[in-house]
Amino acid sequence: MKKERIIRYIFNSLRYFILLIGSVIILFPLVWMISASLKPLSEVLTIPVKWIPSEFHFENYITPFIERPFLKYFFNSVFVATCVTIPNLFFSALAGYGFAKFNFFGKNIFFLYILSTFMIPIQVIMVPLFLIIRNFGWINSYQGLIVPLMLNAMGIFLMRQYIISSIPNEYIDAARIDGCNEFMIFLRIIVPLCKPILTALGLLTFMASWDEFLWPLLVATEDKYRTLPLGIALYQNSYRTSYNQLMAVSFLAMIPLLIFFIIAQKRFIESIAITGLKQ
Amino acid sequence: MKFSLESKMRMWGFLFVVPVIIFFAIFNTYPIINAFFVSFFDYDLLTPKKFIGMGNYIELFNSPLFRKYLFASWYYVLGTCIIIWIISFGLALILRRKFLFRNFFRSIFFMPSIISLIVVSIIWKVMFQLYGPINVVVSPIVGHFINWLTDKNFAMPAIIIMSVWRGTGYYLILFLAGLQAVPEVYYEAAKIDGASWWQQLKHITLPLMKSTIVFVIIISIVIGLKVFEPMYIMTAGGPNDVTKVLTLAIYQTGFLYFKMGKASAMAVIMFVLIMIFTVIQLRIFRTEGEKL
Repeated sequence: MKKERIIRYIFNSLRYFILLIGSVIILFPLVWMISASLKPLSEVLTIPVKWIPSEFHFENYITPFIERPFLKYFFNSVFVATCVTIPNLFFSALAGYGFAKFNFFGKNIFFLYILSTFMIPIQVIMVPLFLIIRNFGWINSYQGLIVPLMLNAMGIFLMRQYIISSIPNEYIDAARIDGCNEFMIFLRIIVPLCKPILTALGLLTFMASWDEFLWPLLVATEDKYRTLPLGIALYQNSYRTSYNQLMAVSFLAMIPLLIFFIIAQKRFIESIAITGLKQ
Repeated sequence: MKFSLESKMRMWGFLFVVPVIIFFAIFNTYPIINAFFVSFFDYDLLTPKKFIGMGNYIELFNSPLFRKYLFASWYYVLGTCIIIWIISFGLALILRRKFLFRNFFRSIFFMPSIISLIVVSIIWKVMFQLYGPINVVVSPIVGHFINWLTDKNFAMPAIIIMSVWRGTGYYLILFLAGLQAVPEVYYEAAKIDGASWWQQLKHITLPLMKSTIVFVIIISIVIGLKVFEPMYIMTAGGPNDVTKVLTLAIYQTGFLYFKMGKASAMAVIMFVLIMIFTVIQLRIFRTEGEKL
């Protein structure tokens, strides 16, 4: 009995030991970044690492905003991510409902077709998509940034699975007997019942759009339309940029999502798990 | 009366899915067809297209540079994925059961996944500088300073280290979800039968998690093949093209050298690679479905 307790104790300590080492590795770059962002430039790359600056340079957080329109980039990111997420949720839910609860000619073929678009990411079609968008005259425009990335197969697939598995037909039939038209049933019955999956999908879509880099890099060549990741990438390319200011900007850029994550971490993690599980 | 109701319903169902079908036709299918088409031409955006048949493909397959890009892609994908699978699965096993601070650790490990890849790449680029904090930690062990991002032997490992740091938490969550779907009674029964920890892993956990494991393997490979930002930010494909992965090569060929035909041919090859893995995944899931 005693032996077993000792073994369990060792196992437990080992577990915390591994997890602590892991956490240190995860937090190291983040803490280093914050520390570097407050240093004078001469102290950023030193041996050994100087964790606490000799003097705090809070102006590192201000200079970048004078040099570059970071507020504009930030606004663009918020605007584009919002304009991608809302139509994505609406059309994914609508199509997911159509696939889940209706019968029509070619339904299975259409669904397979949508799933097949999984295999064609933006990286594969960047050249032709760029040419098409250029023909539309959408280079350097919000519609050019938003429309091509608005929908994806994942969203439609998730909505369909959710509606099949958790919305009983009786609800829909009852509404039909009450004389609701089909679109009203969708808005009044289906959408409210899909709230959990819509939240998850919304979070993931917003995050993916917020991170998007390759497509905006092709479409937005004027500051007016650049999103935050583009702005930061451009800023780090400039020879005048110093590391301490670069770290300050990087830190600022991650704050909104970090706050979001701290508030809704359970939701975040559930969302990832749902999308993985239901595949 | 009944007939008209039924056909009305068919119409509604069709109407609901038609917007997304049109969307994918314009922004997904038409471009990929176009990519195939353009890949048979010499096209620089300015002068008219010139048909050259398989010219672009022949050039690519005879080019040692293109082989180098393919190698870089696979080096990155396998290097990153194998390390991530092992670490994230191990951590998932540790985090499976409830204990004090479990959710705290889970959140810490997941945190890097929510930071944008551009920002992560920039932070690590600075950390990998010659007198940066990575060398502060590593140089006492190896005895000298490493030029991480400019040495052709270390540039890709540096990017892999960064990718493992960022990606592990995401796959950890997927593995955890899979693990928690395995009913606890199986383990209780195994314990009564005196099964060891290793036997439980081999005969309960792994077989029951097969679909999660296959899913993680395939999506991590596909996500890895699509990688772009770390190379764009940290090395720009250098030194000597060792970190120039397919996506970066397509981007540079198309939008730096304006060889749209050649870039499209590369894209078609990448499409084929992704398709192979997706088909493997579908195959495995289908045979799994037959067994159940």
